[in-house]
Amino acid sequence: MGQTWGFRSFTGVLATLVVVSLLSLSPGEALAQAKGTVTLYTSESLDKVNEMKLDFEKRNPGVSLNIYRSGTQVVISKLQAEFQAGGTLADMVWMADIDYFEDLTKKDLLVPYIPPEADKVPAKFKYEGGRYHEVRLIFNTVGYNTLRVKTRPTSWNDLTDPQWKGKIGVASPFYSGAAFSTLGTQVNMPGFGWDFYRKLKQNGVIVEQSNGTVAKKLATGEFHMVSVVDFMVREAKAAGSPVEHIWPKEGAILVPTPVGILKGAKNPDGARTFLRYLYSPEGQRLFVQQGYVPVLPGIEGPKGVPPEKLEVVQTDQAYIGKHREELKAKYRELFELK
Amino acid sequence: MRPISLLRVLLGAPLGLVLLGAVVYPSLILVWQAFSRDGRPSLANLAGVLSDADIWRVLWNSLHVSFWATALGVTIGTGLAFLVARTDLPGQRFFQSALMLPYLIPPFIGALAWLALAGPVGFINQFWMAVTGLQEPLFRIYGAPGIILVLALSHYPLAYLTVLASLEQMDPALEEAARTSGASPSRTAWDVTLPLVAPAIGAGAVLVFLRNMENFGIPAILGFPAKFFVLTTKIYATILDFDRPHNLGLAAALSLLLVAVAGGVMALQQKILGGRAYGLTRGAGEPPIFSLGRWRRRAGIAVALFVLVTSVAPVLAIIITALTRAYGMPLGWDNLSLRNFITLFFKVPAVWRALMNSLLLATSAATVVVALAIVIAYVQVRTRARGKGVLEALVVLPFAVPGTVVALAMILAFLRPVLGISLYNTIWIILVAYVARFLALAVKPVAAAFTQVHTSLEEAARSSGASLARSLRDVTIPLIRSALVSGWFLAAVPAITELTLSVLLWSAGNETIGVMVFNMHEEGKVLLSAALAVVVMAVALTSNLLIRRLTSGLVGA
Repeated sequence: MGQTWGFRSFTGVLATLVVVSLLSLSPGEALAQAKGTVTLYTSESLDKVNEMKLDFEKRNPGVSLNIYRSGTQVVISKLQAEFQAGGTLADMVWMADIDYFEDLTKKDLLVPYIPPEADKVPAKFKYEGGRYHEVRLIFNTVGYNTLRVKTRPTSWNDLTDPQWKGKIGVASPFYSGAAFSTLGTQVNMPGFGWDFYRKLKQNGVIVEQSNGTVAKKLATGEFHMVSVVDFMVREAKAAGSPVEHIWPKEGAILVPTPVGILKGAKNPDGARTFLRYLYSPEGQRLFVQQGYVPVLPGIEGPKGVPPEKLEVVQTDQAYIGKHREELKAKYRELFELK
Repeated sequence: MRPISLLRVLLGAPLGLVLLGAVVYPSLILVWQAFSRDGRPSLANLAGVLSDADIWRVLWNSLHVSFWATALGVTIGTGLAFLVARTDLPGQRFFQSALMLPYLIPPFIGALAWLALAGPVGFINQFWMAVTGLQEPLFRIYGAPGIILVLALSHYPLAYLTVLASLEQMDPALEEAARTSGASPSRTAWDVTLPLVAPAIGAGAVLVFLRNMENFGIPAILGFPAKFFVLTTKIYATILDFDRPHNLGLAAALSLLLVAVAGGVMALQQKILGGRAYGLTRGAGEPPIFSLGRWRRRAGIAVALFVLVTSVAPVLAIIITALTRAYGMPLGWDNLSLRNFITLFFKVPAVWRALMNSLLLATSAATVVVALAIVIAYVQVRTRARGKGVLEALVVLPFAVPGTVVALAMILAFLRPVLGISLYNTIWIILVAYVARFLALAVKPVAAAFTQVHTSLEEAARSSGASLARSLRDVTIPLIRSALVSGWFLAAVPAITELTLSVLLWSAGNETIGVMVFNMHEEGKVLLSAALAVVVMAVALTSNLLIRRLTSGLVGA
């Protein structure tokens, strides 16, 4: 009797489950209902990634995002220490150092996964068969303080204008992944090369640790013109700071900040759910709200960004990966850094 | 005798476990790591450190910065103590508390406050540039001079307190005798008072010097932008530099260097000042007060200005920064808002979690530490157990060495699971570190209280048939209750706003509020980090007020 009842209710539950999962089936594949904690190691902006966590958790009840956020180098150090000690807590990694992702790919430490939400996203943003992803775009551009600089700059070369000598700031390629990508790209741009960096040096450029610091000092007027990532300037401008950035005529430099799922992740379902969220229209809209350029076609970018005819310089990862040490050594020598 | 030995086991086992796990084992691992490479004994790390010209410069930076900050801090502290205790300075009661203000603010928060006031675009430099129309700031706070200034202003209260206590305990008859023999006030001060407080000044100087040497927050915040490193920040950077082969071993060797310098200073103090505390029995009568005469008012104004510039102004500057809407826009009512606080509390869930983590860590560490302190104090005061010296050394060691070294020892000890238990990447590693670090703070008042409770009371209880446990519970502990409360707060308060240990031990979901402020600052989030720093300051001041209430002024300043 009890058994019959048990069997009946079992089939009933099963049938309901099948119906529910069929209904909720998204194009492409079904995903086990994710729950539990997903641990993310990231160098993303602390307040932005926390805002994202709130939105993600609201839309995915039962999954919570646990964030370790620090500078790119610190995050990599922690990961390496944990790999050496026999395993990391992280399920996912997200930071501005694409080179490190190539390294992880070589060591076969990333799980390929392409969410259905990413179908329409250009293939070039789904690296190595989906082992890591560009989920929104940031660009390195020229920023300026509108109280100090009255004529709008147009080119990267404005940074070498002696008029701003000693008031030019850049982020250090030794700390900032974005600055490193920019360096590796600019040395191969026609008409730029190391010569451009030599001119920067002559113009008394100040090398700061992070883009955050560069943007901050641009707002206060300590710097008059800088090389900096675009969204930080827009964010400061939106808050009312006297700053502006341009889209240099030679092209803005795309700064890769990939995210990927680690092999051995304790919560792979949860990690996939978060990646799906990042590509979803909701996630993409939050990116836009935060000032980033979305990757999903059909989602409108921040107002007037990027402009109709945006000149973009793609980073040449193969070149940068191969010449990593050489680039750093030359830069160190040129700017006499320790 | 059976119940006693059972009790001994019950009390001794957790104590032994904690001391073994939190102090002995990490210390041994640290020393082993410094003197080994790839699992074999080796001097390679030491050689690597000592042959690095950069390290010698860092060592020099540490000594040079600590020395000048000590000289400045002790001069300020001694001068103020003398003014407050020996002259007719107006507003003495007020100054007695006001001068302790920097003591209540965690040093790294002090550094952020000074940055808001006197940083490259702080209010002073902004004003200067606006008035002169120049594009160059008046001065640069990054690097050695800024670190010296902020260290001195954060730590002078230690010298002030030590000298003040000595002045108050001094036998007034000595100064009276000088005065009645016809010596002028200044002569008396110079020839009698000063030599008598010299040991206190020396003790204060050593205390301040050690605090300066071991500080992490101030040189991290004011040194990194100028690429200026001292030993603590260099150890921190070395630990995080996994690209460098053997970075942890090198950091361990560097730590031993730092401990050696600190130990050397303490030994020097023992040698010079050992047994020179004399004339300090408080006699009857009041000490003579030196009249400042026509300088009285001016002195009062000068001290008030000092408090205003060194304590009030930086705090005000960081509060205004926290309330700023847009960075870089001129100061004005329309540029003030509560938006930064709203972002912190409603958009960054990590802030709440960090606050909870810090409170939980502080209260649990304090509770564990007080429980251990009862056992330790009992053994130290009431028994003739052998190895008491060793016990005392184990209690003091983690507090005597710099916090950065304690954190490194914890990483080395617990990076891999020990006996199947994995502490790394959990909040427990921070708790273990806090217990080790703050144990000495609780043992001191509890042991002092034990010595004041005469054994006859316990003996009476025992001879009436009470067990040792019962006599402790019913007789001794009620008598030392206030010492237990003091000990609890002495450990809990610094733990709430702790940075040095947790900045190296935190993991996902296990950040402390100190780490949160530091990370936001590192990320360049000036306004948010200022707002959170204001919150931390409020927590520190409130907990201090609370303590004064609860311990009726025994603890707290």
